[in-house]
Amino acid sequence: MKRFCQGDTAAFDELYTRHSATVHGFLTRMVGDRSLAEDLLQTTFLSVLRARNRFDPDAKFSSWLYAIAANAARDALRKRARTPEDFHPSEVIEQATASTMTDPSLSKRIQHALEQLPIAQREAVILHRIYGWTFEQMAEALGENPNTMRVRAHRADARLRELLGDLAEDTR
Amino acid sequence: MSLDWSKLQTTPDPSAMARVRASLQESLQQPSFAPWRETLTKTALFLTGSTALLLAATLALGQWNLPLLGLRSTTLSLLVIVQVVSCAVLIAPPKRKLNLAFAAMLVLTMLGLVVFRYDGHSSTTPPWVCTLSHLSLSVVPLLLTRSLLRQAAVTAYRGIASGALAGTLGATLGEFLCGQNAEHVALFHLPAWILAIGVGLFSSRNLRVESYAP
Repeated sequence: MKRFCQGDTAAFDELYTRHSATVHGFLTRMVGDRSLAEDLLQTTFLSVLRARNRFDPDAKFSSWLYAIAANAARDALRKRARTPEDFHPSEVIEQATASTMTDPSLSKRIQHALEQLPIAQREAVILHRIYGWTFEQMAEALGENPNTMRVRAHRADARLRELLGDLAEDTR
Repeated sequence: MSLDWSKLQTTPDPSAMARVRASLQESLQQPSFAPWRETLTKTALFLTGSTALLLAATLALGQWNLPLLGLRSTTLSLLVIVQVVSCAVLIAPPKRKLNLAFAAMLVLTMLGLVVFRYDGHSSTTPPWVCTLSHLSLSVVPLLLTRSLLRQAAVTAYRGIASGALAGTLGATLGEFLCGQNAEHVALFHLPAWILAIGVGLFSSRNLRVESYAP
């Protein structure tokens, strides 16, 4: 990122190669829609490009990148909540659940449960459970304190236990 | 039933990823926003300079006199600090302590405008003239702050800062052009500033941003 800020455009391509797949995965789980996730992926990296002078060179690039992705996803979800007639949940869950799981119906069920969570809890559980981030890493990326992230993840786990029933053992 | 959460990581479509990459390559030539420190300095200087210019112009026109500067030094200082801190919240990457300091300064300054108006008198001018003038002076700064808001992810603090910043111009001129008492300031100056803050906050919610960077 430092090289990119100094004008090395090849460095931007390296950043995209390194981070795009996981950012895309995060966005897909957040919005439950692959094609929207692709749009948001472009928006996220475009934001990196335009706002590179806002990046603190002493900070972790991945934290900043996921903060951008989370902001973009939140905005898209808010807009979607305002225009529900454009959103068809059964279609998007189908698209979103092509994961590495051998049981696609399970993946679909979990995605559906994720969709029931408030945005902030959804972020917390996706980053913590699916991508293995610590609360400190999440706090740094999302501009919150680690205890807030811990509480959100805990509440998300509790809600997922209600929604996923027989899978509850794994959310304790 | 055991659940491996890591298996919920999705696999992206390679052709879609390549499409996004190609599109981003085309955008590489687009200019980036200016460094935020530079924007912050220029904006703060522009706004405090404009305020100083307006005060000088009204002084030259005989709207107020120099001894009033001494009387209003405390509130003027508070307003300048709010202007600069509002700029920082609006333009700089977010910091929790800065946001809290901004909120505290804003409340303190609003209280200060009332508490330090102990020399006020009554007037025949309709009181709503102050509210209207204060609000109309907020319009141009509110439009300016919209372009600054679009350069990063909108937050409630940034929205409030845009309105607070826009309102400082009217609040400052109100200190020198209106000689009415504390009650008048509380009922007709502060609501205008609060309304400017409300406009800044609510209009920021639906703003189409150019970047989602914090």
